[in-house]
Amino acid sequence: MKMEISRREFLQGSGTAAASLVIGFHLPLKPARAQFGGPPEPFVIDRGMINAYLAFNSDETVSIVSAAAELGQGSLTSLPMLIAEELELALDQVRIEQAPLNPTAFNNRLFGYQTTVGTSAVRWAFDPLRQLGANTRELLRNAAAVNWDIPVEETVADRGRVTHPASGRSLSYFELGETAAGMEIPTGVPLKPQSEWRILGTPFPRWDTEAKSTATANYGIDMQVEGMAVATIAATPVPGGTLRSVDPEPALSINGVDEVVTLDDAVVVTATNYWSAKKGLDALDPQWDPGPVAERNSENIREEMLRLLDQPGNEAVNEGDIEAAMQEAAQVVTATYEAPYWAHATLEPLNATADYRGDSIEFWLGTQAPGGILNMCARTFPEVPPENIVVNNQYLGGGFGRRGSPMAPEQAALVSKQIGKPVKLIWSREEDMTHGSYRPKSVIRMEGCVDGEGRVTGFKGRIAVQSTLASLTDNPDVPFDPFATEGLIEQDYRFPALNFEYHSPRPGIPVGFYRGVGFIHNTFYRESFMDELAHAAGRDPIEFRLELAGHSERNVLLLNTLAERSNWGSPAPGNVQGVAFAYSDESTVGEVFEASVSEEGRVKLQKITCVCDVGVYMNPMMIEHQMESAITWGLTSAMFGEILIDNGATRQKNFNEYELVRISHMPTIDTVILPPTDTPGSGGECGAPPAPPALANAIFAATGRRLRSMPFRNHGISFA
Amino acid sequence: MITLTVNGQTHRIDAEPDTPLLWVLRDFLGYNGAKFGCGIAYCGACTVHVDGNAVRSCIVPASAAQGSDIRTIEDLDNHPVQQAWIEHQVPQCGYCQSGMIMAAKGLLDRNPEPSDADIDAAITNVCRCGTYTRIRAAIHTAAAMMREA
Repeated sequence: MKMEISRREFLQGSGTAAASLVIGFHLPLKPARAQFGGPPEPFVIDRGMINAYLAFNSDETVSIVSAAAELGQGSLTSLPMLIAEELELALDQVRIEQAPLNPTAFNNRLFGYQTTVGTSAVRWAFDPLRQLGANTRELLRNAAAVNWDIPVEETVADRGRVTHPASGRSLSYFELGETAAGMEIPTGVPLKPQSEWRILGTPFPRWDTEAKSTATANYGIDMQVEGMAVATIAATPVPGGTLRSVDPEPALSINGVDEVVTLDDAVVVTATNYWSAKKGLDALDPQWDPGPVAERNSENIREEMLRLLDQPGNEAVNEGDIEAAMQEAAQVVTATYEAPYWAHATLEPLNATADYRGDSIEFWLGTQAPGGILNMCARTFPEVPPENIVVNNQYLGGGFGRRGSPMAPEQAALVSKQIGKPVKLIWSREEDMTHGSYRPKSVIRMEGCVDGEGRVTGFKGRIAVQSTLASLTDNPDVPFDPFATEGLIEQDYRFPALNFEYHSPRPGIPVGFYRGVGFIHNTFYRESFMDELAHAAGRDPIEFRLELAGHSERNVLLLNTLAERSNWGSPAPGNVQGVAFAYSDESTVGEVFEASVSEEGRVKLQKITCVCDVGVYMNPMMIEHQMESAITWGLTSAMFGEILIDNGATRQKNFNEYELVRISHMPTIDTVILPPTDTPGSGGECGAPPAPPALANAIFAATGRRLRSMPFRNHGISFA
Repeated sequence: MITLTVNGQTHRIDAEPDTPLLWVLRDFLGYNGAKFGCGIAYCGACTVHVDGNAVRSCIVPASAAQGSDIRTIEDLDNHPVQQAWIEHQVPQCGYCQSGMIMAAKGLLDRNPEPSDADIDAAITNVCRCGTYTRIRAAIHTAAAMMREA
């Protein structure tokens, strides 16, 4: 890890200008799926550049200054825990400060591409931040030893001070800053063993709870910039379409409306307030050239995918002799499953505020990827030098993979450029819902075989799913799609023979990362199908999974804990149970859903038991929150979520047509975290994938009906 | 011109009479606690109190709220509901929570000891992060604090 000592001048204007010592370092915010062989731009981010600072303040606090986004996972609470543990600080001595993203801030040191996706903020920082804390602690002890002219071994670092117990002398880290700034930082200082942790692994409340409970947290949509206009937009309803014409007059006669601005693919109304802008936009009748995607609809997209299932695809895995396994099997089970497009439906609609000033642009918004805005500016505003672009990150009203897009800031800056003043652009809910970057629809056919003892001997399948990478990189020829089969070919289950292929159809519907990515539908497929196999073999579903996952002691522990904690096999009278288990993104989660199901198919969830193996964890409170959150996410997807396409355009416009889980649907969630290992997993997404199949398997237990497509309400199932 | 009384202060506002209360609060008066989520009274992120009732301000024309006592989350000062929210660590992204807190206060003002079923029936606001089980627990805690006060 690269580290540099720098002086207070670095951070002028950042609120830490009074720091006696500033240490620049690289906060490694890798995308979670980077291990799949380095997806192309814009997701390559780890350039080893300085993108964060530690600043030692006179009030004996230490500020972590970074442009990383807070999405709601509590990562900003967990990052200080990593620093404080080795730097010997109390947690209330560590502050997080959001830095604006600006490539030339901090003495011309370029920030690396910044993004927060895939629950990576904590996981990838685990070793580097502890090492940074340890190295810096030793630097400060060395500085004290020099000051007092004593051996460093006689010093003790604790709660932001270095003391010399023998003489009773003591200096704060701030007071040691001047001396330390002239010294080399030690490297490779040994880290504490887990048994000596004081902070890591203990529950710690989030630092932003009070602000979010008192309406003092500022979200992008709350921005107020001197002299700004408020705007709203209608972009082409069909992806790839363009604006042919629009008569601005009906909008201009509405009080409060300033201007009607046209972009290549959108019309925007600017006004003194949102309501006037919306009324102005509603009064317009834009004419579009929709382009070729207008020929696509949900039916012909599905038919294309089903046709592809009859043709050989790209090979994702081929282990063992799958054809022999099928031929020799006592039973072969075949089934076709599918899942729809899903919308992120972040509660804060996409928005951005931009001030284009000719030779500079300043942005204010909540974004998961400030660096993506720099890339966008290089394409769209080549006249503006990159060092004159500033991104001020705000709280995000939900990210879930949606808030990495530079589309809204690009639109806001284009409008600001045309009207010559700052613009706050707010997408209506309808604009947000119909211009999503959806989780792609998929269709899969699976075959599984069991021998005479009821053991699985082979598992194969072929899936058709749009390539997320191709859509996000605007390159339809991306040669492979790791997200197509994640969740189907993981090694948490060991099959004697395993074979999967995928197709990447190109219907032209924009798709992107969605919490759970490929795992969320592929786990539904695999874990529902494993239940079918267990049923065919006459086996108990957990016992059946124990056999498949039994190569790993952790998996056995997890499944046994899950069976015990959920009272598996003995639900309350009138209730049924369903189970699912899955590795995803370096963690493993098992869930048992207990529900009552009426004869009319009305499902009432009664209790959810969740056992997770997230490796070593920093803050168990955050893990519990994330399991509860991800399970709810999975349930909305499974129960209600469905985006349909008519003539290339999205049918669903608002929440009344895209229903979300509410409090009445949610039972208690009992979460157990397995004892820590020594490597971190992830917490933010892994709770989601098991939820849909656990629910489907519970409904099967009650009704004997196998739900092979989501959302379940399309099967006449309702939820109390 | 519209005249509104918000958190005890009277304002004369040069807004179109059909402007929803939400947008008068946000764009004309600078009260940003009430949030825009859907504009169709589905999600509840915009919940404020009008004459003591929790309402979804995105569909209430400001002109219809003239003469009423309008209260926003900015009017709360360490209210038991907020204390309970902090104790139970409810917020994740936090965007829905102003509306949730105002909806919860609306419930507790009418029903000082709600059951789980009462909460499920009254709290129809949407939280996309899935903080629901904590919201339920926090409402029970707030109810106990308010009864003891």
